[in-house]
Amino acid sequence: MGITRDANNTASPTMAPIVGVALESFTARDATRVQSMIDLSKRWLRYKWVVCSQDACDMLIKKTTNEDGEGDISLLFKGRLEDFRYREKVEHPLRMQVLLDLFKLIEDFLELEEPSAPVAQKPKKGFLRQKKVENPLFKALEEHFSNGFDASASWVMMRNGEPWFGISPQAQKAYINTLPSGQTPDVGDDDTYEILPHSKVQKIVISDHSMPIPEWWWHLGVFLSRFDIAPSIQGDQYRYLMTLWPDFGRLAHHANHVRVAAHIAIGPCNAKTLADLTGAKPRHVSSLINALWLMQALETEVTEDSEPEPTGSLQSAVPSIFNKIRARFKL
Amino acid sequence: MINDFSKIECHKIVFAGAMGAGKTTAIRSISDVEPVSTEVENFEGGGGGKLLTTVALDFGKVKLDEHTQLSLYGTPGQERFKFMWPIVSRDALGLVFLINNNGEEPLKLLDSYLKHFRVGIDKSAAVVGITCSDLTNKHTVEDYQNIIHGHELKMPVFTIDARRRDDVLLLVNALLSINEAKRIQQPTEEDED
Repeated sequence: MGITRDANNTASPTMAPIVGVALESFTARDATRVQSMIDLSKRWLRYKWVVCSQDACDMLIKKTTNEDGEGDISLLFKGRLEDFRYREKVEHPLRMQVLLDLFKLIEDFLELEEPSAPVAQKPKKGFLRQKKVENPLFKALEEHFSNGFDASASWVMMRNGEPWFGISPQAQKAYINTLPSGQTPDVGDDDTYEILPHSKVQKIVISDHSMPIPEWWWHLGVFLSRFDIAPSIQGDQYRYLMTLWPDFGRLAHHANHVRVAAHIAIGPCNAKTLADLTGAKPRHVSSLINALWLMQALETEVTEDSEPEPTGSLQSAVPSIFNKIRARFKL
Repeated sequence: MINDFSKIECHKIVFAGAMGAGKTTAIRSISDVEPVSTEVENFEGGGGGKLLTTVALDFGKVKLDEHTQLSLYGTPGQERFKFMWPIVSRDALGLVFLINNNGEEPLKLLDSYLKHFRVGIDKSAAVVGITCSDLTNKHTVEDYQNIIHGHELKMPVFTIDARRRDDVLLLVNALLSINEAKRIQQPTEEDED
């Protein structure tokens, strides 16, 4: 089967196999979102899976492109699996055009009537996460933490054999050897990461680009949220408890980070519940969780499915005065 | 709390801190009006003599709508005025402890606040704002957190500049968030009514 378009450019579904990528948003109507999708598209060829927001979890877009520029797409939308084939416009090699075509395709699909074909099986729980490629940076960090993290040791994270950043508890500094403070590079599938004791790294040069260690961990945690929550603590069965408030006065943060932090300061919750209770976007939840994990300010517990989570709408539980204050100060 | 005369519903946030901690500045940064300082003369009898001490209370307000107002109170942080603390902080939405990191015995001051404001802390929410950290690194946030842990509490400690509105709003956001989280996770009979 292939894809056909009628005079109104409306697409008809086809069948195709896939490799997966999940987009942060599935609409290209908003120019700002298009730009973010362009940025994401630069990673498409390197990752098989890109972080998806809670919104996009309902829609999983899988794509691959062959040598002829033909692509196969499978859309898993609200439990229905539909396959498409598209052709990359060779006269428009720019990724943006490919991306816009893809989004147009999705929008057309959304406008399609209910197919008469049998509904595909609902994906199993955790389906979206099962095939995610292991992020090498996460893996290096997890190995380091699982081997007994020594908060007093100075060490260096090597990236592709070169020093990337180092931690010096004595100086209470995280120093970034190659990048201006506040910047982190892209993380590729082929990149290698290794953590070494500072004494074993010959070429390290402590640059002026440094920041306090908690600030660095926060920054890295937020960066890692684009790859979702750290794999070793990810899943609906994990509930998170914050053991120490980060100093948000020194950390670039979103107001929702504070709201989420307040909940897990009081009692453990899983990521979905936190998003539901606070109205925070999943990326805010995941960035806080990752950062707290790196800052050693997080405890996790694994729960049975039957254990109840805090429930209820935040709006109905709190007095209106809180909402009035938030509205007044735009919090 | 309803003021029967004006039908204005009043709520309050209390800022506690020693002189120079930044109470007036913090209130000014979010108040709709210039903070008003009131002076209360404190008479102490003893040995036949009277001691006159002047203490300032700061007051600001934020109009939320036609019938709702948020009052901002700055209460003096010296321990000799601790008799005022439960009065000022009664029914407060939250407590902000402003500590001048460059001041006199800031850790001891926080320890005293936690002890004497404990009822208010347990009932609503509290947050610590450390000011003047750019002037000194005498104590770190970790030092203040250790004091808090000694009271078996878990409370945010933020390094702030009281002149910056965003920093003060961070404190307000923390108070609101903690209150909200408590009401959902630890509802009381009062909340459920």
